[in-house]
Formats: sequence, C-alpha cells, structure tokens
Amino acid sequence: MAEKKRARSKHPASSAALRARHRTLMDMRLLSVLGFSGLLAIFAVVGLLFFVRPATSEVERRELAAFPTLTVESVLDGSFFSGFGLWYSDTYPLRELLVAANLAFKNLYGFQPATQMVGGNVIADNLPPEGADDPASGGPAVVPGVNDGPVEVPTAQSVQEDIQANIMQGLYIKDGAAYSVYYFVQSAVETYCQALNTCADNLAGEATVYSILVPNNSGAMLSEEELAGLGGTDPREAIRYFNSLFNENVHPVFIYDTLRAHNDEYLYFRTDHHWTQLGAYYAYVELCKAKGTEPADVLNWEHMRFEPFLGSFYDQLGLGEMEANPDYVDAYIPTSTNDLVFWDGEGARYDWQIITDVTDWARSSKYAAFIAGDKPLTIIENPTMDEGPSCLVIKESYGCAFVPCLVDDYKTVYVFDCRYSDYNIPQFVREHGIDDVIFINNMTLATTDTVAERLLWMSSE
Amino acid sequence: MVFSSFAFLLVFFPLHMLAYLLVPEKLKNPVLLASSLVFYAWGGPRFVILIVSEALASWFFALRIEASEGGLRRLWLIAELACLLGLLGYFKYWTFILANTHSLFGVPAEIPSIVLPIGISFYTFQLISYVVDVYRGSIAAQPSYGKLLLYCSLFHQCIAGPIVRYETVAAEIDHRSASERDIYEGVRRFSIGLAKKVVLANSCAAVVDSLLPIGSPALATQAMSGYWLGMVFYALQIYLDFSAYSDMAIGMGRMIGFHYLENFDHPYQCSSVQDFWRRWHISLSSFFRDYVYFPLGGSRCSRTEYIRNMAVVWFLTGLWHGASWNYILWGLYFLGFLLLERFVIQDRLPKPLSHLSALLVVLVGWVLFKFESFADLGSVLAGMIGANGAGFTNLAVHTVFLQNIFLLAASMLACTGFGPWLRTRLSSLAGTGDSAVRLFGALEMLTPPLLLLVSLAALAGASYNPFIYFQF
Repeated sequence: MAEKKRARSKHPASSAALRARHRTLMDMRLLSVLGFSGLLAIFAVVGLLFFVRPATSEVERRELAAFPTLTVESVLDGSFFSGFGLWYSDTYPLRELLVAANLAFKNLYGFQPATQMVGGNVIADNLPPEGADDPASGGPAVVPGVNDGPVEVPTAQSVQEDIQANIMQGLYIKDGAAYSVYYFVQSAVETYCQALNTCADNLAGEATVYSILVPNNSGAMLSEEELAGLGGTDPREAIRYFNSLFNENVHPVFIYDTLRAHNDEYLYFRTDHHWTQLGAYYAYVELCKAKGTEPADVLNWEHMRFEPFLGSFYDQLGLGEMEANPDYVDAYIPTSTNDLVFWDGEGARYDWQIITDVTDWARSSKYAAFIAGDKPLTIIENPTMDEGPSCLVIKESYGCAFVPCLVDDYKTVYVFDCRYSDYNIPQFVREHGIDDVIFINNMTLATTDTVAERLLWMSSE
Repeated sequence: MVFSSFAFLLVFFPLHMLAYLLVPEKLKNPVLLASSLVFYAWGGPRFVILIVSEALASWFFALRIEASEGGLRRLWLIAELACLLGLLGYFKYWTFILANTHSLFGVPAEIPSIVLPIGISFYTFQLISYVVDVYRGSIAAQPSYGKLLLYCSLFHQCIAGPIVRYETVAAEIDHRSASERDIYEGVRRFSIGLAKKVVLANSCAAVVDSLLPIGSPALATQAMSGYWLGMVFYALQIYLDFSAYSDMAIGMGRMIGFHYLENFDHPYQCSSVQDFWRRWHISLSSFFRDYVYFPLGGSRCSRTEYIRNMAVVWFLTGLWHGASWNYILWGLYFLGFLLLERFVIQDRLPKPLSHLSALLVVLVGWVLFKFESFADLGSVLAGMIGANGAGFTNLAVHTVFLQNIFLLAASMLACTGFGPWLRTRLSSLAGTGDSAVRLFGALEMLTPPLLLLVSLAALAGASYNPFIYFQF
C-alpha cells in the first residue's frame, strides 16, 4: 500500500520532469529556427548592400560578373535571371570571407601528402624523334605546311583561358613547391615555329630574330629521374624539336642546359608559375653569348626585395605548406633608367617604372614589380645612350623579369605582350628601325594553340 | 533557379517566406502559387505557359472524367494522356528520335534543337498520376484550377522531385498547419539537404571531374584505381545530390505544413538489386509500379508476361532518366539483374555477399548512367578491368585519394542510416536526465545554423575562380 502511494506520488513528478525536459528541448529547437532564420536574414540584408559590392577580385585577379542587361529578350530567354544569379553570388559582399572559410574547411577533406600530382592525367602528343637536331644551330628548317594562318585571330580572353588551363594541368607538388609539367602538342608547336619563321623571313636582312624558349620549372629544377617519372614530355628534347623547325633566319638561344647547371639557385618561384629574375638573367647571358656581346652586371645592380609572395600555384592549391614558406621577389633596377612608358588596351599612355615598388601590393601581386606587368606596348628609352641599337621583345609574362636585363644594352627597348598586342611585328620593326627581335616565351605557352595562332597573325604581312 | 544558390537562399526564399508568413490564411495559397511560378520562370519564363497549360488540361480532363461514365471516361483519359505524353515526348524525346532516324535513314537532313523545359518529367508524371487516380475513383477531382496548378508547380518539388501524388497533399492544399515541431523538423531537414548537396555532393563531383573528365582523351588513360575511385565518388555524388534535393523539398514542405513522402531509404544499404530499387527514388519506382507494372498484370501472370511487364517498366525507367541510349541500356541492365535475382539466385546468396554484389551491380550501373558517349563508356569499362594498359595506380590518383579520404568517409557515412540512428538514440537518452536533454538540445539547436553557414561558405567557395594573370 505504501509502495503504491510512493509510486503515485513519484509518477506526477516524473511526468513533470519529462514535460520540463520536452519544453527545454522544444525551446532549444525554437532557438535553432530563430538562429537559422536570423542568419538567413542577416546574409540577405548584406546582399542588399549594393554599394559595397566589389567589381573586381584582387585575390582571383579577375573582373567579377557584371549586372546583366535588362531587355525583353534577356528576360524571355532566361539569360537575365541566370546573369542576375551569377552577379549576385560573384559580387556578394562577404564572398571572399566565405571563400577563405571554405578553403580552410576543405583542408579537413583529407591529408596533403608531401608529394602530390594534381591534374596530371594529361595526354601529350608524341615528340617526333627526327626533330632532335643540333640545339644551337636550329637544324633543318622544316615546318609542315599545315598552317595557312588562323581563320580567326584568337582573342586575348581565349588566349588567357587556354594559358590558364595549360599552366595548371599536371602540377607536381613536392615539399611545398609546385612544378608544372610540360606536355608536347604537335599542332601548336608547328604553328609557333611557323610564326617565328614567317616573322624572320619578312624581316630577313632588316632585323635579327632570336628565339628563347623558357622551360617550365619542372624541366629546369627537378632531377632527371623525378622528371622522367612525371609522365610529361622531355622538355629538353621538346625545345630541341622546336629549334629544329626554325629556319636559318631564326636564331635559337638554348638556355635549358644553363638553367639546369644553376638549378641549385633560386631560378623559379615555388608558389607561382613564373621564374625569378635570376633565372631570367641566365637567359640574358645566353642571349649575349649568341649576339657576341658582353652581358651587363645585372646581379650587382641596386635591387629591391618584395616579400611575402604567394603566386598562382598557391591561389590554385591553397596549400598551408606554401603559406608557411612563401616566395620573395628580387628585382634589379637597371643603372641607365628606371622609367618606361606603356599603353594599355584602350590606348591610354602611362609613365611607369621598370621596377615598381610593390611592397604594399597584395601578396599575390609581387611579380607585377617588373615592367608594369603585361601590356600591349611598352617602350623603355635609355637616356645614357645618344645612339644605339634597339630591340623588340615579344613575350608573355615570363618576359617581364627578362626585359630589365636588356635596358642598359639598347637605346630603345620595345615590348609587346603577344596576348594583348595587335601590332604587326614586321611593320612595327621597319617603322622603328629595330635591330633585334627577341621572342621569349615559356615553352608551355608556346605550346598553346591560341598563343601560337596569335603570334602567326602578328608576324604575317 | 536551384535551391543550392545564393539567389535562392538569400533572395527568393527569405522574400517568399516573409510574404507567406505575413499574409492572412486565405492568401497563403496564392502567395505559394505566385512564388512557385516566379521560381519556375527563373529558368526561362516562356516555359511557364507549358506548365500552366498542362495543369489546365489536367484540371479540365479530370473534371470531365469525374462527370462522365463508361467509355467516355476512358476517352477523356486517353485525351489527357495524349496531351501530356505528347508534350513530354516532343520536348524530351523528339530530338533523340530524329537523331536516330537521321543516323539510320538520313532523314531528316537537319535535327532541330529543342530546349528541354525544366522539371517537365516531374510535373508531367504528377499530373498523370492525378488524372489516372481520378479515373480510378481513388481521389476526387480538384474543382479549383489554381489549387491544381499549385500542386504541380509547387517549387519545393516541381523541378527535381519527389514525384508527389495528389492524394498525399490534397488535404494539405486546402487546410494545413505547421506545428512548432514541423517548423523545426523542416528547417533541420532543409539544412541537412543543403549541406549534403553543396558540401558533400559538389565536392564528390569535383573529385569525379578530376578523375573522369568526360570527353577528354585523358579519360581513356586513367589508372585502374582511378576509374574505381572516380566511380565510387560518382555513386556517392549522385545519391547525395539527388537525395539532398528531396531532403530540401521535404524540409521546405514541412516548414509550412506539407508532409511529402520519403523518396530515398538509404539505398546503398540494400540487400539485393531489387531491394536497391525499393529504396532508390521511391516516388518514381512506385509511379511505374502503380501506373505501368500493375496495369500490365504485375507478377500475377505467366513467366513470359512477367518478363514482358518488367521489360516495359525498365525500358521506361531508363528512358525517363534521359533521351539517350545509355539510359535505356542502364534500365535494361537492371532488368537483367532483377530477372537473375528472381529466377536464378533466388535469395540463395549469404546476406553480406548479396549486399556486396548488389553494390557492385549498382556501381557498374552508374558507369552506364554517367557516360552518354559509347566511346567514353567503353574507355571507362575497359579501364576498370585494367585493359587500357595504364597500370593499377599513379601519383595523381594517390594524391586525390589522400586529399579526399575524410570526404570519402563522411560521404559514405551520409549514405547510411547512421545519422538518423544516432539521433534516435540521443533522443531516447534525452529522456533520462537534464544533462542528456541539454546535450541533445544543443545538438538539435546548433545543427541547422551551422550547416547553413558551412553551406554558404561552400557555395561561395564553388565560385572561387583564380586566374594566373590579372583579368582586369
């Protein structure tokens, strides 16, 4: 009886406790709904702050999506709405913060092995064995007549997209450094060589055409065994093949062996796909040998150091190991001048510096210290010479670190970035009485169809 | 518009919910309908006319069927089916049919390009089920056109399912209420679906794209382990992606008082191929069961008729997934294994072996599903048995595996019933003491907001597109 009474008195207490626990749980769930709704509301309100929406992204080095044009047609076909969605997310005010948070979160997906291969399953064309001729002489001038010039000139945008894809395919990562692997593409190489041959033929007797092909960092820096195991094309043999396709009017400057001989030095960045100015200097020395001139004492020029530098490989891979051990950029200032003039894509003229102090620039932008970056036309006048030779450098971004080395040797240095320049090379050379035409390009970029096609268009008359 | 986008999460959905909550009861359906039509129009406003017309035809024919008797009822039904299936056939399959006649007979000389209206496969099937159910007398025809249009265009499930039967929501279209618990469960389910989609499924998709690049010559030269790893990630991606959409649909419905049926039941825990199809895309399987298989005679017939019935169902199941031969092949591939299980294996395999063999069948089935090009399909199947000479593994595959090993584990776990089991256990424990209820309550409280934050970051991260040169 007493037990029954105790049970009766206990039961209401248990029910009350259960009800209290249930209420606690439901209160916490209510808080959850409020938290979820509150977060959505906050993020939605932030999305309404149109005046703080960015138009460009420094981190990604690109223009963000623009607000779509409102037309009846764009509404009816739905492109206005898809454009709005893209614009809304691309320019969302907190986007870069969220991107950074996501990159950190993605580190939880797995381990970062010390040795990695990213995007490495790329198929290269077979390198024709007969292409391997004397690297210095250029070998036989045989370019198959497959190219009659491009039907359409590749736009700067399409060239950039191709380069982006080619540079970032086949990245070998070891000890916090990324190495891009070279993959041979027959058609692009033939077009590239045809472009230089065309230019040299058009300028025969008027100017001397030089070709410098810069190997990727994997070719210059990795051991032979390691390089062979990566599955790309042997870069030395590939450059020899390029050179074998040039005619007698093109003078190849073979820098591959020189770079390898110095590969215990800081010739390439570890977090970026470019070379350092030291690597460019060794190429310059080889050019001087080919020309029979004495190289300037570049390494003893006044220089500036910009650090930390975390370049394109870091942007792509986001490896903590790279962030912990970033690159630095050493930039040597020519003794004759540090001034240049460049024209942008709109034709506007700017006075700038050969070596710009980029100390306060973003850590991803330090390579922009050299000759104001990639411009359609840049001109450097040497005030210490009243008369003297002139040269035209046709380059992509690898040439930026190279051009300053030439400044003391020439009265005038003209520079085209082949991706953005619309000039006709032979006409420009004649109009300005240029003596030397120097093509300096990274070999992967020279193996990019759109780059080669654009060069062919610029070289043809 | 997709649920997993900034525009949906931060513009459409908050505005819709705000309007829905602020209007009086009688305006809730109009608000829901207007939102649904705006949502549908986002992908191309011209196709709104299609869904509006299909709903109008179905509303009209259903009322005619209900009001008629005898052969006339059948005529109205046939007219309705001709309308709906004719439109589906034109928009989804006409190009495919012409491409085949072109390659066989050279006609027509040019194949027209027909844009597939978003969600047409889902809402067409919903309307078919509605009218057939009216014809069968199992439901009453909806007298209000607006309510029928709301049923088939409801943005929760209009473009990616589940294929909701009218009877499931008929009462809730007229009268619904969302309890405190409904709202929480809806928010929770939505946030779980969102995270499954943008964190797990999208990450799995990135791995698949890197290992199995469709249309690239590199697809033919992957190492054997790369093909298998890629296909395992694809199997995870497709389940997580598809079930995530169902989760989000079910969640959004529950927030406002709709109770849609489950569309997946942890299919990779299946004990056989047949069991897999009981658990995978349940709303589609049950549609074919109720509207094709049973009317044909089901299994209560001769062996020949049974095989014919199954062949029809699996041919249509394959075809429903896409206008391409690989989907038909995929459907017939499952037909083969289902017949094998029924007539040859007959539950004689030990359970673990049966489970593993079913998973293998499903995994290889995904190869057929993924690659529309027979050249790509052949490359992958050859590579999976090591017949392409690319070796067993390489550094790139090793890298991908190690970089995503926890993603792989988390995705596998998300395919199982571990999460719901754990929640049930913790819920039981919560009744035993105040500390336990606080712990469980904290988990319940933090799950939705945290998943939302992680999902927003992942969505932003997916748009991260660094260039090696300045593009401005």
